[in-house]
Amino acid sequence: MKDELEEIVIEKLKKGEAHAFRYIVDKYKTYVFTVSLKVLRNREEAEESSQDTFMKVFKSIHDFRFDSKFSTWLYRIAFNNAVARTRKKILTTEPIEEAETLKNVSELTGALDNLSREERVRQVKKAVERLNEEDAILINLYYWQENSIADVAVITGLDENLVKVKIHRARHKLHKHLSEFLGLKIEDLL
Amino acid sequence: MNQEEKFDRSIRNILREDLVEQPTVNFTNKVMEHLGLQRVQPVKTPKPLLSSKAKIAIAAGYLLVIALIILFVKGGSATVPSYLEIFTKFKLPTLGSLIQVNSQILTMLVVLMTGGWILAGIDRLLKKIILR
Repeated sequence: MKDELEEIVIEKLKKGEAHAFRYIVDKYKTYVFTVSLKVLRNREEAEESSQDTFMKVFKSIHDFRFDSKFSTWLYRIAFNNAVARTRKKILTTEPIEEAETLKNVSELTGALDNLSREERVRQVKKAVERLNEEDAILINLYYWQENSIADVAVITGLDENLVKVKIHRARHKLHKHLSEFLGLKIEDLL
Repeated sequence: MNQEEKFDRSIRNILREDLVEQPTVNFTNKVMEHLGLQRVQPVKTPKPLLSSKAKIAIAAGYLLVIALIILFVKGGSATVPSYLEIFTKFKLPTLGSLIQVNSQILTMLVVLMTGGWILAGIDRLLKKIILR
């Protein structure tokens, strides 16, 4: 959805009305912090990284041309900033074989629906934590804030097809872990 | 809707709110501060120490003291003589002449000091009551 107020604020920032930046920080701080935390897995570092991100955004706001969503542009800076802090390559670019399609999703979602909300969230988060770092980051980015494959590709800087394949595979692993946690017979599901 | 879409929708619904992490409360201020854009806090005007009523009361007290001093200097009391009278009587008030009339002067001084002391006490008391 187009945010007209956000566009006005960005235009104001471009004209040098620096105090309008408070609106941007207030609106996106939780999201920038979340992206940073998913990569860095340390709250203090994530907070420092988030601050750096906003500094960079402020300084390079003139480069934003409304070609993409402002949020995606911002998350990309946040993601790159956090990755740079880890001093390691989080995401690999080698192709991955596509996994088979999911089966018996209804049983799994049905089993999840039978749990209380807290328990449901706990089980899914536990399953995400069991994924490797790369898969967990992609899954978090994808399942969060209605991000599309294209958005995740822009944020991570990976090729869209590669993101598609990686998310497909990560989704499969998540499905498998959840099935284990919920005591469903995997052979029946896959 | 295929199986993957169904799965995605279910997981998204579960994680929608729970993936979001909150930074520290004053995060925005920290960022604005780093950018040198922190909003200037309005300077709080200090509360006046005394209210206008108390000031009027204290001013009245001081006026009373001045009035008493004038009264003593100019005379007008049967029991307490005017200092001017003593001054004229003895022309130049030498130490000796003052000692001669020491009882009268001392009486006057004691009255003045006691009056001042009482007024200072009232002043302090008023301030305490008002500031409480």
